[in-house]
Amino acid sequence: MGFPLEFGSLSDAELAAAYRAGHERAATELVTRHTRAVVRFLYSAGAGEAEVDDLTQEAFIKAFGKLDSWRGDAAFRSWLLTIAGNLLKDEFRKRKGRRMVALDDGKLPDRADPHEELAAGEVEQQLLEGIARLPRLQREVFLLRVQQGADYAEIARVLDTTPGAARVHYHHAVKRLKERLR
Amino acid sequence: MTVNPCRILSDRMPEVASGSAHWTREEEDHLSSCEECALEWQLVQRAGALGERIAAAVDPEAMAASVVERLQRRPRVLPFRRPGWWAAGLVAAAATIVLLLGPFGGRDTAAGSSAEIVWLVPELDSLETTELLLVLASFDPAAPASVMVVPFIDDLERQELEQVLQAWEG
Repeated sequence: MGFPLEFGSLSDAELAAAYRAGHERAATELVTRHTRAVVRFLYSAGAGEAEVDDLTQEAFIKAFGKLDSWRGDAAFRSWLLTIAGNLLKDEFRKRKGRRMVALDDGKLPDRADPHEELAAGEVEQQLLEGIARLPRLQREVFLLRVQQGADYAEIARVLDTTPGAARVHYHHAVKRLKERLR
Repeated sequence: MTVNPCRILSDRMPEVASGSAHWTREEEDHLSSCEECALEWQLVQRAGALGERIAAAVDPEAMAASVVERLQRRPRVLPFRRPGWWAAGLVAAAATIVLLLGPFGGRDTAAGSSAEIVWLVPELDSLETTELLLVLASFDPAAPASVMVVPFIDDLERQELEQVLQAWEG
C-alpha cells in the first residue's frame, strides 16, 4: 500500500495502517494529533501535572504496542483515551488510591477581575476533585462525553459496555458532580 | 407521551458545548428558567474546558519525538510472529517439506526403499524390515505419489496394529 508524503492528510485508520507497514512518520503524526486530548483527559481524570507528560508518553507507547487490537470500529482517540485511563488506574493503585489533584499553581489565565479568577480556580478545583472521586466507569464516560463529544454508542464500544449503561453512568456522574457545584 | 425537556437538553449539552450543535430558541428559554439545567450546563462547559491550560503548555511535536525514539528502541512484535509461533511454524514447514519432497517423494515405496523410512519417522525407528513392510502395506495405494501419507502408530487400524504387534512378538 502506498502512502502520500503528506501524512497530515491521512485519517487515523490510514495512519495506523501506515505505521504497521513500517512508516514511523505515521506514528509522529498520530502522536502530534492526539497529544493534547490525552493530556486533558489524564489531567481531568486526576493525574498530577507533574506526571501527565510521562503518562501521556506511556499511553502512546502502549497504544502502538497493541495497535492491532484497535478494531477501527471506535475512534482512535477514544480507544487511546481508554488506554490512558488504564494507565491512570494503575497509577492510582500504586498510590494506594490517593489521587493527585493539583493545588492552585498560580498559572491560571489572566482575568480582569481577580475575584473572578479566584472563583474560577476554586470551581476548577472542586470539579477536579469531584471527577477524581467518581467510580472509574462514570469518570471515563463523563470525560469522553464532555471533552471528546463521543456519543454513547462510541463510548460503549471502547469501554466494552452497552450504550444504555454508558448513558446511566453519564447521568450518575452528572448528578454527583452537580452536587459538588451547588 | 411527553418528552422531558431537561433530558433532551442534558443529552445535547456536550455537542453544544463543543460547538458542533446550537441551542434552539426554546432550549435557550428553558435553560434560563430551569435551575437544574443551568447548573448542568455550567458543569458541562467547565468540565469540557478542564486541562486546556496544561494541554496548551505541552509541545505535541516534542512528545511525538520522544515516543518515536522509544518505539525505535524496542523491537516490534507483531501477532503470529512471536518466537514460539516462528519455531512451531518452521518445524511444521520443515516436516511437511521432508514428507513431500524427502526420500518418500516420487519414490517407490516397495520393500527396496523401506530402509530409508526408518530414520524419517521416529516412531518406526525400532521396527524390523518385516514390520515396516506391514506398515507400508497400510498406505493408501490411491494416494498421489507426491502426497505421501505416512501413518503414525496412532493412525493404524486395529487389524494393522495387531499385525505389527504379532510381528514384534514373533
